[in-house]
Amino acid sequence: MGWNFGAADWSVVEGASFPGAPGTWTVVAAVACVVVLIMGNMSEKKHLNAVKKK
Amino acid sequence: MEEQIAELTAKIAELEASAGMTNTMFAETYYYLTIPLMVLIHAGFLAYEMGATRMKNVLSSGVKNLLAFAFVLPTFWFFGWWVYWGFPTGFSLSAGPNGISGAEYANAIAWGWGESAQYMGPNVADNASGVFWGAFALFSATTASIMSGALIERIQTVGFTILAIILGSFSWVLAAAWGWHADGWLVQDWGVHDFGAAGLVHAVAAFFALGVLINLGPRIGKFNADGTANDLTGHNMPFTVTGLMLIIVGFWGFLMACLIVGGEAWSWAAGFTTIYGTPSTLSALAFNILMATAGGIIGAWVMTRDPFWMMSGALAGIISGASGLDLYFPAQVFVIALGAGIILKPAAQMLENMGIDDAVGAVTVHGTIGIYGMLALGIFASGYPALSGEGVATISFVGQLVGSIVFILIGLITGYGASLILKMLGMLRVPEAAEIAGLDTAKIPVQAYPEGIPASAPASN
Repeated sequence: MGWNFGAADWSVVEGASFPGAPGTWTVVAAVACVVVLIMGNMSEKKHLNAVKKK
Repeated sequence: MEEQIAELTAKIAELEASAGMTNTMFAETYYYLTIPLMVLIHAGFLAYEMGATRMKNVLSSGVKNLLAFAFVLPTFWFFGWWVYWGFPTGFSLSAGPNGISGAEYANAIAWGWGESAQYMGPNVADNASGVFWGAFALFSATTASIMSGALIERIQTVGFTILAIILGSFSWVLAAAWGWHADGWLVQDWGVHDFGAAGLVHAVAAFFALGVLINLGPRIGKFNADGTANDLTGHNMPFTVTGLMLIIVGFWGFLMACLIVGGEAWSWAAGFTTIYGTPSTLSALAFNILMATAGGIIGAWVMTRDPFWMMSGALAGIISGASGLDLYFPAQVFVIALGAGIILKPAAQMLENMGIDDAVGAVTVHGTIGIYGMLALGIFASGYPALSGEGVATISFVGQLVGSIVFILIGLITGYGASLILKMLGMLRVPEAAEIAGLDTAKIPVQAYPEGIPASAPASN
C-alpha cells in the first residue's frame, strides 16, 4: 500500500505506479462483481416471487 | 562552424522531441474524446429503450440498461481485453504475422496482475493503453445495449446482466480478434474488411440477441392464438426518437475510434489508417456517415412515414455503410443506405411473422442490415487490398460472406447457448404474474411517473 518508491519524489517514477498490489485488487474487484450478481439474483427472485403470491 | 552545426543539431533534436510529444498527446486526446462521445450511445439506448417500453416496465428497462453498461466495463478489463489480443489467429492462441497477438503477447499486456498490470493502469510512460482500452470497452458496452432493447419487459435483470457480460466481454471480442485485427485469420486468409464493425459489433450483438429471444419467447399478449401479432406500443415515442438521435451522435465517436492515428510507435503510418493498416481519413468518414444517415432516413420514410422507423433508418443507413465508410463514394453509400432504409421494416415484419418478439427491431436494424452492409462491401469494393503491404488478401464477396457467416454463428451460438443454460437455471424469464403486474412494481423501489402522463392526440391513418 501507499508510495513504494522510497523517497517521496515524482522524479523517480518512470513508468507504472499503483498504491497496492494490482493482482490483489483485481481479485477483490472480480469477487465483488460475482458476489453482487449472486446476491442480486437472490433478491430478484424474492421480489418476483412476492408478486407471484399476490 | 562546427559549434553552429552542433547547436543546430541540438535544436532539431529538441524540436523533434517536442513534435513527437505533441503527436503523442494528440493521439491520446483523440481516443480519449471518443469515449464520452460513445457514452452518448448509451444515453441514447437508455432513452430509446425506456421510451419503447410500456409504462409499467419503464424503470426496470432503464436499470437493465445501466447494469449492462456497469458490468461490461470491469469484465472487459478483467478478461475481454485479453481475448482481443489472444485469439486473432484462432483457438491455437499462437502469434500472428505482425507479432501483436497470441497468448504470450496478451499475457504480457492485458492482465490486471503481475508485469502486465503496468499496461492496465496509470503509467507515466504509456499514453496509449488506457485510451485504446477505453474505446474498446465502449464498443463492448454498445454490443450489450444493442441486445438489451430486444429483450425488454420479460427478462430477469441478473440473467440479462450475465448475458451482457458474455456478449460484451467475450462474443463480440472474439469476432473482433478474428476480423478486426491485422493478425486476425479472417483478415489474413479471407480479406474480410469491416471498418466500422457492421458485422463484428452490430451483427454479432443482434444474432446473440436472436439466440436469446428463441429461448426467452415473446411478451405476453404479443401474439394471438392464430399467430398474428399485436403492437405493444411503447409509452413515449418522443423519448425513443430522441434516444435514437443520441445514438447517431455517439456513432461519430464510435467510428472515429475505428481509425488509427499516425506517427506513433504503434501506428501503421504517418497519417490516419484503418485498424487493418490501410490508409483513410476523417474526411472520408465525414462524407460517408452523413450521406449514409440521410439515405437511411429517406428510405425508411418512403416505406413507413413513421418517426420511429425513420430514426431506425438513420441507424440502419450508417450500419449498412459501416464496413466500407473508409472506401465508398458518398453517393454510393447514400444508395446503399437508401436500400437499407427501404428493406428495414419489411425485414422486421418477416422476423415477427416467424414468431420472434424483438421489441425494438434490434435484430433487423443491427443484424439483417449489418450483414447487408458486409455483403454490399464484398460486391462494391471487391479487389481492394484488405491490409497494407504487398501480396496481401483482397476484399471479395466470398470473403465478406465467410466473415458474415462466422459473425452470425459467434453471436447465435453463444447467445442461444448461454440463454439456454440460464433458462434451465430459472434465471431467464420473469414469472407470468410479475410480467402482467409490471416489472417496476415487482422490482423497482421508485415510481416513474407519479403524476401520470396525459394521452396525446390520435394518430393519422
